[in-house]
Amino acid sequence: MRAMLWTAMVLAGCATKEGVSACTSVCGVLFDECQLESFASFEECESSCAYAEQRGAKVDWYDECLANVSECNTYEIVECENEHGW
Amino acid sequence: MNTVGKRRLPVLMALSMSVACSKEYEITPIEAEVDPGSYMECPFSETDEASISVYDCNPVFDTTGESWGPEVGSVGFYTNMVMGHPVYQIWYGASMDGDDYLADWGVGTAVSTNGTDWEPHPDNPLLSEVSDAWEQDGMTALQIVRDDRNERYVMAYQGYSFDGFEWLIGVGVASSPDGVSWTRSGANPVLEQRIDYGGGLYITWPFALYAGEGGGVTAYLGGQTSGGPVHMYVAQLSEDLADWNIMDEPVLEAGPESYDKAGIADASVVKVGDTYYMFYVGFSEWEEIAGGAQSPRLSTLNLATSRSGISWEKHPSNPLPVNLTSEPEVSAIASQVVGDQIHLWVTDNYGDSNAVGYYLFDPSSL
Repeated sequence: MRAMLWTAMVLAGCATKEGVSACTSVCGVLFDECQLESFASFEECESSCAYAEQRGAKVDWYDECLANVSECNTYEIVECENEHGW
Repeated sequence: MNTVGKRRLPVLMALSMSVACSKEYEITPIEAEVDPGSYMECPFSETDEASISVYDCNPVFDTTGESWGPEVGSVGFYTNMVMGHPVYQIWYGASMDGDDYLADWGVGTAVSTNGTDWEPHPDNPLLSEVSDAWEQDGMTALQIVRDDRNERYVMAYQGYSFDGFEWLIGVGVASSPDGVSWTRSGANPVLEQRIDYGGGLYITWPFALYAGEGGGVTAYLGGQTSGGPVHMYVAQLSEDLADWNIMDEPVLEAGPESYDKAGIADASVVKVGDTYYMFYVGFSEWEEIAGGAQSPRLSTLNLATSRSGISWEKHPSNPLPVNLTSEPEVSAIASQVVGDQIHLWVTDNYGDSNAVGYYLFDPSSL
């Protein structure tokens, strides 16, 4: 019971920052997996992502779009930006 | 034991939540600062013009080595910003033989995450000649713009055919939702060089495309009257790109300065703050090519600025000191605002062939 309560509270706490979590996921693809060279670091990617979200980027959809990119295809990454960026 | 556990539980839960979510709370929104020198192989160095720096390992693009088009001709650049970071994309007209104006041609695209290593699209060529079409023998003066408002890329180009006696030369336009699948306008050629567009104005070829934030695509075009120098005219395109409404008067006149006394050959327009910057290729002579047609010679890169985008003022330090050869052969220019700088791609003679060099322009230093 305690474990269930703890899990629920942790999830609730994180859920309030859902957009930022999506940025972490987005940068997991752009920086870690696909190694886009103009990103200086993972943290810099996250900060840029959060900034993009402030400016209207739909980061959750962006994240979903990137999940469907095959083998870090740069053309598909650009399309995700065109569809969900700012 | 239970009692101790209950007392520690809230602390443990708070600590766990803090660890689980701490990363999220640390993220601070910061606009990306783009410094190509930090991720490219070589640095940028100053030039004689304080506002311009040059990439030390130019050229950044010459050819992709694709079998369908080993000789790259005109080039259109665009920088896609992925989370505020550049992913470079290039569209290029290419042919089987760069010295043969009638060689088989095509248009391809390639992308690069560092500005120097290019990945051609597997579907290249995206466009190619069609037998008996108006532009079956060649295309050049390729221009590309991203029209965000209409979620499309727009391409304009000069196309031609030659029957051994007479040239048919015109302007074509195409659009694409993704930069890969292109559809030519059914109205092509949207302009023809043999048609008088009023007051003896004949259109030569497209210089540049510009898409405003509010929508609408503007084309900058070359135009001649009475065989005089090629001035720059502007046309507003209809939303379906089929109708080009040309303004009567030139927005930038060639000459009397020596560097553009024969005409203007290419241009690229960007806006920083309230000021438009037009980088353009001016030329001072013509040279004869096949079938009585002419091509620009002695061509340099120049700058003009404007508050309206319509009336332009030439920069007093023209021409800009970027040409590589003593008899200048700058043939094309592309530009884009990235961060607080204007990125320039200048096509020039790199010895064996034309290739593209990368430059940065700092508008604040003017």
